[in-house]
Amino acid sequence: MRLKPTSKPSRWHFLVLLLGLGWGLLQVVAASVPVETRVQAVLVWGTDEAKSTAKNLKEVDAKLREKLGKIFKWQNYFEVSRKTAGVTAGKPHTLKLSDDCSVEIKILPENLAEVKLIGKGKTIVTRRHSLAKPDALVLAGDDKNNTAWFVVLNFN
Amino acid sequence: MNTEMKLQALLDGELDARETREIEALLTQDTKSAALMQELKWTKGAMVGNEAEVKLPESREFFWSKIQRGIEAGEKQAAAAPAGRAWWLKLLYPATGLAAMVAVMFVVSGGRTTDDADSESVPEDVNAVSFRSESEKMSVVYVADENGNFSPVSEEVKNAPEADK
Repeated sequence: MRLKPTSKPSRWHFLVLLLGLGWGLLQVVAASVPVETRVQAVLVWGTDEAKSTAKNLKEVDAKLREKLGKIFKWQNYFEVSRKTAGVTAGKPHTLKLSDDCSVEIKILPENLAEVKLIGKGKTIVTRRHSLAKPDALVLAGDDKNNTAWFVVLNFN
Repeated sequence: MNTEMKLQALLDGELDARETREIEALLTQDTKSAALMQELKWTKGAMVGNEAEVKLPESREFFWSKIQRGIEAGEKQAAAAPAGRAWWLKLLYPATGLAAMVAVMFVVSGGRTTDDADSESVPEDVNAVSFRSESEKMSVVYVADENGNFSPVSEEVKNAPEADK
């Protein structure tokens, strides 16, 4: 492309300017529209006991079982409860996973999520998790009789 | 300087006294040189007062106005030269504006966070260890309640017989 050495603004100048303005407008609109983040929380119980002792619980799906099994030592992982919600930025959303356990999720600016694990009304841990990476967030702890609990959170 | 040149110099009065004496002595002895000197004198005499006057084909004012026009044309060419590179300058202005807009939008949007943004806080009676499994794409926070009384999975759920379902 060869531009003529003219003092009048050519249509290329207007095109560049128009594209810039359009892009800027899109950014402003995108920033002003509240984005809902889908959050899935799964409460999991990990144990070495035989499956028959937890007959009312189903095993977690194979993919999650494989992931947990590669990190943790327990033989079996049972899904206790599963909750899904759409969380709007700036508004905290609470998911109740059991009588004694819930998670409060808040989407923060800068692509962050703040997750509070609440047990018996008390905040056990507050975690700030970057949503820039595809990682699942796992909050976990020891349970009685050499078992463990896991709260697996997925964001998308 | 040969003899002819010396004769011409003598005629023009450009020789010093010694050279003048030498050439004058030569002229008395050498008839050929004397004849040449005589011819040169005649030629000079014919030239003096008879040189053709060269006249300009145009008036003085017109001649100088031509020079002025030439200067002005040169200046115009010099002024036109930056216009040749002005096309990129004209592109530069909207491009700079666009870049500034991008920078402003980046600042407004706050950019994007990295893994460094991950952090956790726990009460005093709770310990926490966090780590990340790159292969399993999992960020794990493992908490240990010193009192050991937190269990989100109730005993009823753990030990419920099949009939309770």
